Order: sequence, then C-alpha cells, then structure tokens
Amino acid sequence: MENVISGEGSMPLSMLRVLDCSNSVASQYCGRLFADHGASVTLVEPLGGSLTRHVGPFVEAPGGQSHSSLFWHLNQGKTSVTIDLTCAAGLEIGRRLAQSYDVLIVDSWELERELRDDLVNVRIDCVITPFGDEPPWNRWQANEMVAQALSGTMSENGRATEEPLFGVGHRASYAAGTIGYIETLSCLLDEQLSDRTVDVSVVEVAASMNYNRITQFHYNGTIQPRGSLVSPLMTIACADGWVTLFIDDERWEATCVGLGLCSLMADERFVDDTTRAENWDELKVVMERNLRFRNVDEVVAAGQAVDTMIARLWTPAQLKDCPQLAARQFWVTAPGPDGREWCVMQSGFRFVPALSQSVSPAPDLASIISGVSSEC
Amino acid sequence: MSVNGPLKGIRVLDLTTAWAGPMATRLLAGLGADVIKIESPTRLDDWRGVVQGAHPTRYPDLTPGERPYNRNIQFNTQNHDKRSLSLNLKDPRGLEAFLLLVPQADVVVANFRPGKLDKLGIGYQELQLHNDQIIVVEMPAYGAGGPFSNHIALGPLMEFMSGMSSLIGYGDGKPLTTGPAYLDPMGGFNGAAAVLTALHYRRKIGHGCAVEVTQREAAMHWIGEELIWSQMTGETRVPRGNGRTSVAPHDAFPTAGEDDWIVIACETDSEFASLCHELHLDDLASDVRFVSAASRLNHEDELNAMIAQETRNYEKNELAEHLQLAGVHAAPVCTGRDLAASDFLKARGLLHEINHPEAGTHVYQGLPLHIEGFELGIGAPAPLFGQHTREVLRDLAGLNPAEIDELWAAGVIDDVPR
Repeated sequence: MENVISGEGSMPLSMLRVLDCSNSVASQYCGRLFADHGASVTLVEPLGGSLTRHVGPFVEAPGGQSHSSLFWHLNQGKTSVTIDLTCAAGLEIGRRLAQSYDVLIVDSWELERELRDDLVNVRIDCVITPFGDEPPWNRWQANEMVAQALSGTMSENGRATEEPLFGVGHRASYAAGTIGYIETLSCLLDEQLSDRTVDVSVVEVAASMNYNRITQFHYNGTIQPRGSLVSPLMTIACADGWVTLFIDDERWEATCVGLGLCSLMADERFVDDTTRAENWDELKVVMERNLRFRNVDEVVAAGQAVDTMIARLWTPAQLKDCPQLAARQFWVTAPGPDGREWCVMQSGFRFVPALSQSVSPAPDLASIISGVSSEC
Repeated sequence: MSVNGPLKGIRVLDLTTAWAGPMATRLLAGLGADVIKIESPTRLDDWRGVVQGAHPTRYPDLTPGERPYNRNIQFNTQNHDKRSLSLNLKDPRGLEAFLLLVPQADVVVANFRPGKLDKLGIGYQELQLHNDQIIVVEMPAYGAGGPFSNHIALGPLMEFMSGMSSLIGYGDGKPLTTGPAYLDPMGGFNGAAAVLTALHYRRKIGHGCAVEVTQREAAMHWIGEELIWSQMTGETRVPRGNGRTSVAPHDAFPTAGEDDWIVIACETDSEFASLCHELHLDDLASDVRFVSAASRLNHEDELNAMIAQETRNYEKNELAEHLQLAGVHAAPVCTGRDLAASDFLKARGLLHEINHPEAGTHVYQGLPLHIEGFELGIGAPAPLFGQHTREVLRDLAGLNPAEIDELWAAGVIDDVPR
C-alpha cells in the first residue's frame, strides 16, 4: 500500500456527524458504514440498551455474562448515549441533540416525524423500515425470513423435494442498510441539497436483488422451479470438505484437465452444455467418484491452476485460518465488552492512498442522560 | 441518460460484466449518473449471452431473435439508463480512444481479477496521469495479494468462500447456495457504496483515488455476527433448514397449490396464541409442549407438522394477509409470477413497464431508491450493443467522423459483436 494517511481526520467521511436512533439491523448497519469511513456516529439507545444488544448470537464471557456479537458487529466505531425517546422529555433532548448532526438514521416513520419537527440543521433523514410507510403493509410484521419470502429469491432456494429456504442471518437487512448509506451519501455530495428524507424498505430492497424473475415471467411466462438446473453448478464432497464447480463450455476442457479427468473430454454424454445438462446426474456420479478421496485444497489448487471455476467451502470457524484473509490482514481485534480482545473484520473497501485508522470497538451502554429519567 | 437524480453530472466509465459490476453501475445510473458501458466487439458481456443465442428462457417469447445479444433478459434487466460504447481495449487504437474519455469522466469501475486493468494499461496509476480527479473502483473476488488473488469466481463460489453456504442447508451436512448468484447483487450494492464513499473522499482530499472492493470480504460483513461468534467460540452452527435457535415456529409451510408455501414465525408467546387462534388450533396455545419458545423448540417437528396440516387448506396470499392482520409474522413465498402481480411492489414503484426497441414492452424491476424531491425510476431501457458509440466518441473523446469511420473499418468499434 502506498502513502498511508494516518489519523481519524483523514478518513473520507470525517466531516460528517450521524445520529443513529435505530434499533434494527438494517439501520444500525447503515450507521456502521458511516463509522467505518470516519463519520462521527452516535447511537441513541433506549433504557436497557438497544434491542440488538439482546439478539444473538451471544458470546459467553468467562465470568458468565454474555454479549451479542450482532450488536458488536453493527456498532463498531460508534459512541453511545441513552435517551428514552418514548417520552416527551426524551424526545425534546433527542431533537436538541439532532440539531448538531448532518444525518439522522431512524427505523420508524413515527419517530422520524417526532424528531424532525422544527429541526433545521439535519440535512438528511434516512428512514429504514420493513415496508415503508404505505398502509396496510406499514403495520405488517417482518423479519429476514418474511423479507426473503417476499423477494422471489426464497422460492428457488433449496431442493425441489423440500421446503424452500430463506438463507442465513439478516442479509436483506444488511442490503437495506447499504442502500440507505448509498442514497444518503449521494444527497450529501450536493452541498445545496438539504432537508431531504431517504426512504428505504427492507422488503423492497430484497425484491430488487431478485434474479430477473419478474421480467422472466413477463418475457416468456416461465418461472424457475426450485432445484432446477439454473446454471451448471455442481457441489461435490471431497475427503475433507466440499467444493463447488461451475462447468460450462468455456471451461469444460480446463475442468477435465485440472481434475485429472481428461478421458471425459471425448465422452459424448458431456460434450457440450446441452448434453451435460441432459446427463447431469451421471456427470455428478463421475465427479463424486473422482473427488471423494482427494484433499479439498489440492483439488481447488489443481483446478484454479488451469482456470477451472472452482472453490471450496469455508466454515466460519475455518475462516480464521484462511491464508488469503491472513495475507490481506483481514482479521484484527479490538477490546471487547468482556475485557477480552474481540474479533473485528477490516472494512470491505480498501483505498489508495491507504487509510489508516485504529479499530474502534462497539460502545458500552452509556448512562442515562441526566434529567430524563425523572421527567418521564 | 434520463434519470434526474443527485448524481447528475457524475460520469462513469463502466468496464464491468455479468451481474455484480453492472448492478453497481446501474445503481449509479439510477441516481442520475451518466454511465457509459464499454463493450468489446470481440468478447460479449456474459450477460448478453453468446452471439448466436443462449437458453430460450432468456428471451421474449422464448425466441432469441435476429440479435439475441440485444434481447437477453439478463443484460436487459441490469443495464437500464446506461449508454453503450463498443470499443476493443486490446487494440492500441481502442486504448487510445479510451484514454481520451478519461478526462471527461469521474469514475472507472471494473470487476476483473487484480492486475488486469494495469495489464491493459488503464490502471489507476496510468489514469491519474490523464485526470488527477479520476476514481478507479475495482471489484475483484478475493482481492490483490494472497494465494487466491488470481482465482476466478462467480457468485455461488464466493458464497462458498464467505462462510455463508456452510450455514444454509437442511442439517444433513450438504451446503447450499442462495438462488443463482446471491453474492452478485450484494457485490453490486457494495461496489456502489464504495464509489459514493470515494466521491466524498475526492472532495475532501482534492484529487482522485483507487478503491478495491473485494467482493468476498465485503460480503462477509453481511453475516458478520455469525463469523465473529464463530471466531470467539471456535464453533460453527449447523444449519437447521429455516429453524432458528430462539424462535418457534419459524419455517416455511405448504399451502394449497403446487409448490406453494407460506412462511410463519412466532417471536412471542402471544404471537403464537394468535397463530393458533387463526388456524383453529386454540388447544395448542395452552398445550404444555408449546407454551413457551423453549418448549416449542423442544417439540418443533411435532408442532410444524400440526401447523402444516392446517396451512395446506389455505391459499398462501390470503392466509398470509389474514395472519398479518392478527399480528403474526407471515408471508407467501413468492415466485416471479407472484412478484409481477405484487400490490406492495407496485405501490413502492419498483415495477416499470419499459419499451425496449428489440425486446418489446415488458415489466422490469427497478431499484429501491426513494429520495424526497427526486423521481427516481427507470428512464431508459438497456442499450443495444454499441448503440451510442458514435455519439460518445464524437462528443466526449473529440473524434471527428473520419476518425470514427477508421476505427469502424479496423474493427476496433462495431455495433455487431463477433
């Protein structure tokens, strides 16, 4: 990396102040992205702490207490204040506080209207909710599985003989947080642009990530059944792990050479995309027979050496030892909530000139701003 | 092109192909940027398909037509509001034309393997000499440096590499990926976020910069809580279908109709009681096996079987609406047909009827962008191959008609791919 620029003031967004009054994954991830790039982000937590402090997975500390890795991940680099925004006095403090910020992040239209009243200095409100503000959906209950079900993606996940799968984690929410970040930053580029609201719906964002299925239905009336051969992707067990291969005409020869299956190149059952699709199950049997006793890293190395489209499965625990991530210094640590060093991931964006900023932990729960508890 | 958004005045040279890269630049176009997609006459964007046509389901009426590369659904859904410049960058004359465009641009985006832009002579170090304000955003799979740096990848392979696939499955040990390539739109969102961050950075430091958005690493942040938990505990979860460790029920249940499903989740005991009431299973709410989340988890299979027996009797959309009115997390599992008819997506303005000159008039899904004071939607269809070649070279590169004709005669530019 060249010309490392040190210090927090050198970060891309160090001139921005963001007030994060949210309790959801999507909104707090939006705030995290601002914090990652140098913005000063204050998390306003309710009494008892943000909801995400109480959502797992939980890491148990040696002393028996447990802490949410979700809260940790979403709120690195932020500072925290505790204000009860459900009462009038708390809201008044929230409004006065927001006057000093450029961006307000909330996950409720009611709260946005309450805080926004009479505010003149906040340039952009970013409101991230499951369904937006339109009735009747604005009263619907949502979680990741609901969002994925409504996105069109879930219907083709999993096996044809089993129930469809929503996937993992909160990916629709992370997507929505990223869209909120993109839209807010686009507004802030124009210094004349002020007093605008960005409206993000997690469910709509999830649907926008769908693989063309709406238009496919319009183009030719077809839908994609779950478990059908959408693309020539094959998952095979090796002796010590799994690999996945993408096998098409362009890479068929390389695949055969890389995996030591040159005899297949002349096999009429597999000579092109069409015949391979017709005989896919037979091809899979051959591949399984060949790879079942081989070491997964050796198979990937041999394949990639000749540009086979192949990758191995990494489990979360194994990723600690991934040589690629180690070479790129992806894993770092920061002081955790239980006194131990907790794992942190480097930002997904690497700049040239490089940015150098010390990794900041997620905040501890702050004490209540004085005066609020007695007035509510 | 046609979207009046906050990025009006920003110009992007788009070297990307397939989904992740074009999704990133599509977001920028959707916010008003002028995105010029550069396409080689000798190597088509994968998502235009092969010259003679790909699988019929990619085309209107299952028909590739005379110019399949202009009718492919994959390309036509990811490249709205962009201009197309056909240009062979491997030809010195094409490279020269590209470098004439750089002073007129703000951003260059690519999703090649590390080092490829430098090999082509258009890496950041070279481009900053032509325009010190230029921002170059690269979106490789695994990033520069390290033993996998030059590995080629697609979305599903990166999902395997990110830790996600090991957390998706039915509990039988076999990992699964999400849809055809879920990491691609994720990469697109991260790529656009990097461009916006870099535009702010440029304003701050007074000159351009380069950004590497490693798709795998950026995607890992989207399951960061799971990865951190695993690092701290040394454990990895075993996936249990749609099941969660603290909520039951939490699954997909069959409804009336072929392969129709509804998802239902009860995050509280009172929500479970509401579900039981709506499904006429009131006894279950007070059954000691199901009275709390912990007990429901212990008897999850039994519970799910009982719920499924009831949900089979209902149409998925009606049941979902009914349950939502009762305060239960529920939703139909939607196919493309369902989404095309979605009142919610229509109300949000995600669906647009667009007339494409060679694919006809169809509904396309837009982008989930809503900024007060801006009408953000799809302004123009995806471009035909090379559609804007002459105007871009004339207006931005400053070439005269004779010079453009020369490039055409030499095959450096074309409106028909080879």
